[in-house]
Amino acid sequence: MPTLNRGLAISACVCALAGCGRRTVDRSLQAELADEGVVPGLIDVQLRGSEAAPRQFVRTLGEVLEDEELRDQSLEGLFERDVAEHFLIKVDPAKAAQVLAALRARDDVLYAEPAVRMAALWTPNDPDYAKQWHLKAAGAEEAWNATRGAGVTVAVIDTGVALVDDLDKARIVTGHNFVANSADARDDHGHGTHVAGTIAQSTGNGVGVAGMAPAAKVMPLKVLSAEGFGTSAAIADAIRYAADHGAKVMNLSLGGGARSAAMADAVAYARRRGSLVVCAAGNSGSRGVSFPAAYPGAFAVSAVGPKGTLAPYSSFGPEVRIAAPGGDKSLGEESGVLQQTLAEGDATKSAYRWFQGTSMATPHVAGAAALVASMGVTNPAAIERLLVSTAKSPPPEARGQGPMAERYGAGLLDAGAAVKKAAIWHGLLRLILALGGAFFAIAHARKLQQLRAKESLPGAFWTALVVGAGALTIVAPLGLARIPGAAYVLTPLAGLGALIVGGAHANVAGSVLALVGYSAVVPFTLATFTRAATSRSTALGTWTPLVAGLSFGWAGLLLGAALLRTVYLPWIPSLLVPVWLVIGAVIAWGAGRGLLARGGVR
Amino acid sequence: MKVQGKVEHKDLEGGIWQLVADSGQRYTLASAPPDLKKCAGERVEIDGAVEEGGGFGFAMSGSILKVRSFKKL
Repeated sequence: MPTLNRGLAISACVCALAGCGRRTVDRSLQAELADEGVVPGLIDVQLRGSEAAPRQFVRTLGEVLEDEELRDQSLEGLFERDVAEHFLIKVDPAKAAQVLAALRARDDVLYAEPAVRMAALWTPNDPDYAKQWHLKAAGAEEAWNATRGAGVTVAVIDTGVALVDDLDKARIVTGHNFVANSADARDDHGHGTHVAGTIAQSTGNGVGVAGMAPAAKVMPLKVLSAEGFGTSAAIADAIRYAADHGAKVMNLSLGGGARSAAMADAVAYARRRGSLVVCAAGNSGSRGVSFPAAYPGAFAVSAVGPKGTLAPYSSFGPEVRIAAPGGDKSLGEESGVLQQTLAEGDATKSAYRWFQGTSMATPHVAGAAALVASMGVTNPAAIERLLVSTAKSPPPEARGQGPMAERYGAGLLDAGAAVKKAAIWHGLLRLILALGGAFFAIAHARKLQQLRAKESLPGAFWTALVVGAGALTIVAPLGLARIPGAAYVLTPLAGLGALIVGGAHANVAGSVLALVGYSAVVPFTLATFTRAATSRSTALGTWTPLVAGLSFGWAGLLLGAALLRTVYLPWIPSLLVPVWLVIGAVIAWGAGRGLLARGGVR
Repeated sequence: MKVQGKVEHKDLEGGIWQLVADSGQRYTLASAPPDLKKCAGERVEIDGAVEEGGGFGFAMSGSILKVRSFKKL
């Protein structure tokens, strides 16, 4: 049970950080049991081996809980690592201290400690969230503390989206109906609403169920009739519409067996415009990925069930890039994917329904892509790389079915790992580069101070330091996602203008602002003005170190973006984007250096 | 075209209706009349047309067969 293993590992880390591991030296057992987060009567026991005697002993102490019992008690995150060696036992809370003492007295017990809730992970309060095994399997919980997908729009190209009560209407942006050619993109089947729910169901609202990226926006584009059929022309038009109207991610839980040049062109166009096109591999249960998933530029998703093995209905083939939970109802109704949608046979009512299909796997990936994009990774190739490089290995049972890569692509989706990699690895590198910028600022500011000993500039010095260090390249810190408007805080200043008007590919203004932001225009212009303003005086002026610091910071930002290739820029071929950024970095650095050089600093 | 086979309701994508032709070919049924949906598990002959290129939809399982009429066998 890899998921459970990971849950325990995280739990162990949380415990270690919180100092709630074995504490027999300086704290009494009673105090330990009174710790915040301790679940009364639950004890975590790890044996040194898998000998029969200690196992038997543990079983005499209390009830060994099963996973299902854990869920019933809302204790997600407290799992058995290995039934043979690790136990979660339920004992009489009044006797917990006695049981702990007895266990710790044994040599064959590695440790015994009160079970602690995984307080570090945010768990939604939606009452049926516990039934959504698929969100946990996709790594949503680990991702949510860092981001909920704010600032990203996901186009749902499907049967439309109904405004059911567990979808935040404020997050449904204007869409289009390509079947009736109207602005009314409401769902008259339920498929599109179910898919939209997996992406952005209202989460943490105490109602119904959760979604992968609840803070993302959904753009409903109706291309399928109430029966679920559509034309390649309508689908191609919708892809282009989404690319032109700011959809960073597209979800296509649809397909067919026929090649369509128009659709292939539309997918390529969307990719050039900076959108990630996530498509269902198909439900043939055999080799052969459907279109548009099989087109170059599409991100094809196969489906797995709760065990992490390929669902029997899922298509597979060399085009599959990743696998995600799509449900497997051959294992029972609740092994499907649960979201709110229209009631069966009555489009006027809503219901929570279990669906299965590669259509259900696809929005898990689209939602994960939105989460990654909201961390500032706007280049679709970079989003793909993050999702693929962090995918989990399929379980051992998956072996022997045939080529693994054709069934699972890079592996099973792990949104939490992808978001963490985006946040930590990318953020760290960005910070290092920003500190490099700050180094220039500090070095020059110190020289400035030496030169101008009689006129120290503490205010300007610190401003230069702060600006150079991080104001331009803010690292997305974990935990900020809960703050309204965090997307604006987490976005580097260079990308802020574009974000305010809806994204780099939302409209011309957004495109221009993105290009200006990710160039040396701002520092160069400021440096030019500063030089002009101070040219009549030998004094450098208070603004000089500030602008120089800003220029160095901006140079660090552009260099970081060039190295990481995380940024999408409109109108520039993707291969030339790093060149554009490096040129900008050189100009920005030169602008800052030039300002200070005027003061005799070399 | 006329196709003979068995009608199936598959619990996929919220529920789809299919015809498994005697040839083994699988069709997803479009415009299936309510009476046809009462024939799950039964053999029928469907008079209909296959969408050009197989058609597109969320079923993604076999070509789309638009039903004009049907009769039980």
